[in-house]
Amino acid sequence: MARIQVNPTRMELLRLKKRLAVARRGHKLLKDKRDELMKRFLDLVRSNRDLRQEVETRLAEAFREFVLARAVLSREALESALLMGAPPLDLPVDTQNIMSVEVPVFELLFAEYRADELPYGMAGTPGELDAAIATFREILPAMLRLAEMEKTAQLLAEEIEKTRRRVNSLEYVLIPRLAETIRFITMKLDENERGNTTRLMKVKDMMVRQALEQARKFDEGVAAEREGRLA
Amino acid sequence: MEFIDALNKIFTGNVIAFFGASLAAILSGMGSAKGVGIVGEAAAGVLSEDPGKFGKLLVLQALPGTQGIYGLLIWFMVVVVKGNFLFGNTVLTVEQGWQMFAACLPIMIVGYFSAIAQGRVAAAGVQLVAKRPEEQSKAMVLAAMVETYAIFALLASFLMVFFGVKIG
Amino acid sequence: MTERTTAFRRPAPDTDYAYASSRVRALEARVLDGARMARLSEAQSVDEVVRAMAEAGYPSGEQPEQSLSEGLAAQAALVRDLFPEPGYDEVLLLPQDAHNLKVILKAFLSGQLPDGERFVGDETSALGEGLLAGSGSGDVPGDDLASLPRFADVPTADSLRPYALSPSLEPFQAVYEAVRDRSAGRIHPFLEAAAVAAVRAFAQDPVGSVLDAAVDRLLYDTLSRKVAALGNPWFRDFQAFRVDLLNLGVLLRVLAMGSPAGRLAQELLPGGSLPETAFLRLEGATGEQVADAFRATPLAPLSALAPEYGKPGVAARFGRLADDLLSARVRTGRRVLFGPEILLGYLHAREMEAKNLRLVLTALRNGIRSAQVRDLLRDTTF
Repeated sequence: MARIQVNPTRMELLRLKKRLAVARRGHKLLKDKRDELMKRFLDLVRSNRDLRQEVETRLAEAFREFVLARAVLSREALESALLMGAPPLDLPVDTQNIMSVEVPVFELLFAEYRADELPYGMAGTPGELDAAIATFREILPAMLRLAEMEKTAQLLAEEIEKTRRRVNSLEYVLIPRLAETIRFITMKLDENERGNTTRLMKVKDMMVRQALEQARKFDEGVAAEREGRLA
Repeated sequence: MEFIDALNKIFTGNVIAFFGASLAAILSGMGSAKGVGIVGEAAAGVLSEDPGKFGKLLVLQALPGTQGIYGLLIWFMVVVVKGNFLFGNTVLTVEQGWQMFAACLPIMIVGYFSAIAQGRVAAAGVQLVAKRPEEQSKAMVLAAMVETYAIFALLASFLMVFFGVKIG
Repeated sequence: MTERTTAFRRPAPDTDYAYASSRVRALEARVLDGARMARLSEAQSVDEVVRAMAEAGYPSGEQPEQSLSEGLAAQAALVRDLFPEPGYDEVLLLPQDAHNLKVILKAFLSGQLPDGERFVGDETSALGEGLLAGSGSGDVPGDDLASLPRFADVPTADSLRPYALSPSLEPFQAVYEAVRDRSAGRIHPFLEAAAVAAVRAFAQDPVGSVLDAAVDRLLYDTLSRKVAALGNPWFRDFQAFRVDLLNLGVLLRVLAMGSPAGRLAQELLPGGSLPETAFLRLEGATGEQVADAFRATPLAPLSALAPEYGKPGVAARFGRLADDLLSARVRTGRRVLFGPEILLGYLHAREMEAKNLRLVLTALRNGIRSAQVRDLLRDTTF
């Protein structure tokens, strides 16, 4: 594991230790966030699947009727029957914050459909069309809800992925790297310490030897003097 | 009385017999023309979709034409054979003239109506052939049934002209 | 209104129809009958259907559906030309004109709803103001187009032409221009009256069905009068019966949708053999009551479906049964030697055949089981 290029000083060590502590705390928080996101996401996916299934079965049913209606009508008759669509609808989009993820919320502000509010008259169209159109209409809120859920799930998934990457990079890159660097600096500092001690010991050694020399020299001088006096 | 005299002068036996003969030819001819016309129109309608059926349809179209021939036949009987108006100078009494006229009535009336009726049956036959060409013979039999009554009328007129009216 | 007192014309003698009837009988041989249609419903590919269509006299083309409508239009045009007396053209083409008028009005009036704002009660809207104040362009309101307020932002005629039916009594362009310019007296009086009635009704209740229903009511009123004026009793009865069938369908659909009171009266068509009150009486009735009410009428086989109307597939069965009842009427009419009955019956047969072919094609393209298709095939054996 590569370490960070830093001066192995005590200041740096202190800074790194602080960073490590922050990284560890961040890692724990992100891990919690990821788990919570996962929980929410799974819930969402489950209800999304149910809704999707419902929408799809109902759409398939409606399409069966619609296809039959189309079969007995000419293209012009069908298209002009549906020329004047439903009354326009408002769809204000708000956002909601899930674990700091901004997700869309559709406000389903439909003017209540009147059951009889058809875009076509009955004389020129077959009855098969009614059921299909009614189902398409009924299903619209569910489809919007589905769109909302799927977008939310998508955004959550992105966020989960991002968080997971962060957790991983903290867990496998930043934290080990910091730890490594700290160890390196500590070792470096320890080594310096040990070098110092040795030097001191050596100096002390030399000083002792010098002192011994001097003492010997002094002793020799005293001895010579004594011999001279004797001699 | 002058008016009656004038009338007697105009309506001699010969004139009345001529009237009968002419009407026999005219009415049965008209009937045939109408009948053949109806079948002809119907046949033309089919032929415009399927020209290959011309032969089969032509036979059907000819069927209502016979009444006209019968009418002409009676005309011939009265004017040429029995009355011999063209080559002799037969003079009929008023009574004989009316007898001639009455003898012409069957083919005059039946010829007219049977020709039209036969034309309609033949036209129906044309429509039948349009769908099922193999049934042409049946269509002809159906149309020919109407012919029976034209022939009865012809027979009645013929017998009366020949044996009913006593001349000389 | 228009021509309230239509003179009853003496119908042409039947022999006038000798050529036309026989020609149509020859054409009938090419209509795909029940047996051939049943075989065709088993078809495995669109090519098989296209081959059968060529046999039946449809033009060949890239799109089978396209050649289907082209062929049908060609046959209709041919038959219309065969009528030896006038009047039938108008009766046969008027529904096409009504369709075109609906297209034009729908397109014009859709543009009148900016950003979901409904113009009813909206004082600033030109259309709403003009109609509800009862005076268009400051003039005294009449029944002609000039009494309508101006339409804003109308789409071009070319953009609407794909929805239009041709041929029609009045060219699409003429109807479009007359309605756009609100110039009176340029198109068929029925179209003018229908346009005015439809716009007025739409101003009261801006729903597409109201617009269509206003045009259709006037259309069927006009049709029944014009058909009666033709002097053919069979056609008159046929038209009335057709209206009865449509009205029963309307009743069942309104009941199935649980529409509020008043909707039925808007949608019911005039000119049926059963009076409108016979249907209005059943507003809010149950299916069983409807079935009981029509038990003694020719509609009995259809009204028997009333209790289960609204379940999937019943509407389609209703449509088939209604068509078959009409076909039965056509069969009785066609027993004449010559006459308009044969021509009209042939048109009906071709329409049924086109429906059948469309059904088979749709089934092939959407993977619908052939058994289900056979259930919906219309009777084309005449």
